[in-house]
Amino acid sequence: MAACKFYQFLIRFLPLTWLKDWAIRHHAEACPVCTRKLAQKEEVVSLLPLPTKPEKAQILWLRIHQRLEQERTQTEPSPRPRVRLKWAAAGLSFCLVLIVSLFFIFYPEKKKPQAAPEASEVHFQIIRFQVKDRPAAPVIYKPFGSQLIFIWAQSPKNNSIN
Amino acid sequence: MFKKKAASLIFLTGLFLACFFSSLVAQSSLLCKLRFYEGLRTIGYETPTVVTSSYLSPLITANIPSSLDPNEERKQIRRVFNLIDVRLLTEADVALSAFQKAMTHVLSFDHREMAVTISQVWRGVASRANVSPWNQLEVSIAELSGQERTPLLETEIIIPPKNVAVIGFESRDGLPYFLSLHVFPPATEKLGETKEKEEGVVGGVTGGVIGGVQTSESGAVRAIGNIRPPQLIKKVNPIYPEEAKKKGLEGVVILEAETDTFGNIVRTQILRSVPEFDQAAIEAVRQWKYAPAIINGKPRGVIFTVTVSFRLKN
Repeated sequence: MAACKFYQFLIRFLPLTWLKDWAIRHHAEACPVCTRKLAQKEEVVSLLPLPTKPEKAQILWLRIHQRLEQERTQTEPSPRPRVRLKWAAAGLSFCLVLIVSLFFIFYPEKKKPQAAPEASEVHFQIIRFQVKDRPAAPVIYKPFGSQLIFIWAQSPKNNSIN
Repeated sequence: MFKKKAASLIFLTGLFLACFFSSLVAQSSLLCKLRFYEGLRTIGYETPTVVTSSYLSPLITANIPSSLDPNEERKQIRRVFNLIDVRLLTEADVALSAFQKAMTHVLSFDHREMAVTISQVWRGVASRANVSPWNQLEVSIAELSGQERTPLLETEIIIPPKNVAVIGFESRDGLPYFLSLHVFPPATEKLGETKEKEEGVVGGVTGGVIGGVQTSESGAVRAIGNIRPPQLIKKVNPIYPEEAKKKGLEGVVILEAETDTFGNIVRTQILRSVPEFDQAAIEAVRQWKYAPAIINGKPRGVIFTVTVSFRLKN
C-alpha cells in the first residue's frame, strides 16, 4: 500500500514523462488498485493497456481519422507564427537597411547646391609655409584670367629665383 | 528550407552593403594630378630624360580628365619664373579616400630622389569658415638620400575649385623644381562638371585604389608608400625615331615596368602614349637593369612607373 502511494506520487507530481511511464509500467500495470485510479485520469488512459473492446470498423476508422486531424491541427499552427515573425523581422530589417542606404546615397546629391562651396566663396589661402624646416614667406602670383596660381618658396639662404 | 532562405537573405544584404560602402568610398575620394617639372637657369645643363617613380594605376591615369595641357603649363611656368626652359619630369595621379588620407609619390632621376606627400586636412581654417574641407591640403616635398630625408618644402594650402597651384622650390643644391597640383573634388562635391566626367572619375578611383595596393600575380610588389622604386644601374638611351626627328616632334611617354628578383625588366605597359615614341621607349626600357629590390629581407620584383622624355637638342 505504501508502495502504491509512492508510485502514485511519482506519477502525479513528476514532470518527466519517461519517469511516469516507467512508474506505470513497473507498478501500476500489475496493481489493480493503481490501474483503476489511473484509468480515471484522462491523460494516462492512452498509456494503459486497457482491455480492448470489439469495435465496428467504421467507428474505428472514424476515430483514427479524428485523431489524425486533431494531431495535425495541434502540431501545425504552433511553429507557423514564429516562422512568419522571423520572416517579417528579416524583411523589415532589410527594408530598413535599404531605405537608410538609399537615403545616404542620394542625400548628398540633393544637398549639393547648399553644401558645395561656390567658386567665389573659396579663396586661395596658405595656412602654413615652411622651406627647409624654417618658416618662410612665399611669393604668390596669379595671372589675370588664368587658372594657375604660382607660389615660389623663397629659400632662407637664396631669396632670388635667378 | 528556412535556413537556406535566411542564408540567401543575409548574402544579398551583405552584397548590397558592400556595394553601398564601395560606392561611398568612391564618391568621397579626392583626386590629385601631380606634375613635376624641372627648371633650367643655364643653357649648359642637361635635364634627365628618364625618371623612375612610384607605381601609377593605369586606370586612374586614363580616367582623370586633364584640365590643362602640360605644354601650356610649362610655357607659363617658364614665362612667370623667367627660366630658359622647363621640362616635365613626370606626371602622377593620386587618390585620397576616407581610408587613405595621405599619399606619397617618390621619383628618382640622375641619382636624385624626391618624395611628394599629399594629405587631406580636416581641421583648422576650412572647417572653421564653414567651407567644405576637401580642398585643404598638406603638401610636403623632401629630397631623399639613402635613409636621410631633407625636407625642402612643407605647406598647408586651400586651393579653390578649378584652380591649379604651381609650387616652385629649390633642391638641396639650388636647382629649381615645380610641382603643379590639380585637385578634383570628390564626386559628391563636384562643381560645374559634366555627368560623363563624374562617372569616369568614380570608376577610375575604385579600380585604381584597390589595384594599387595589391601584389601582382607574379609576386611583384607595387612601389607605393614606403616601398620605393628601384635604382637604375644600367641605362640604354632610347633611339630618337628618325621620322619624329624630321617632323621636330617631342613627347613624354609614361610606362609601367616590372622587374624580376634580379632587377631585369620583365614586363612593360604603356600608360601614357605618344604613338611616335612608344616603341622606342619600350625597346630602351627593356634593356635597362635596376638594383634588385630587397623587401622584408627578401629579393622581390617591383612594379613602378618610368617616364621617358624625347627632346630635341636644339
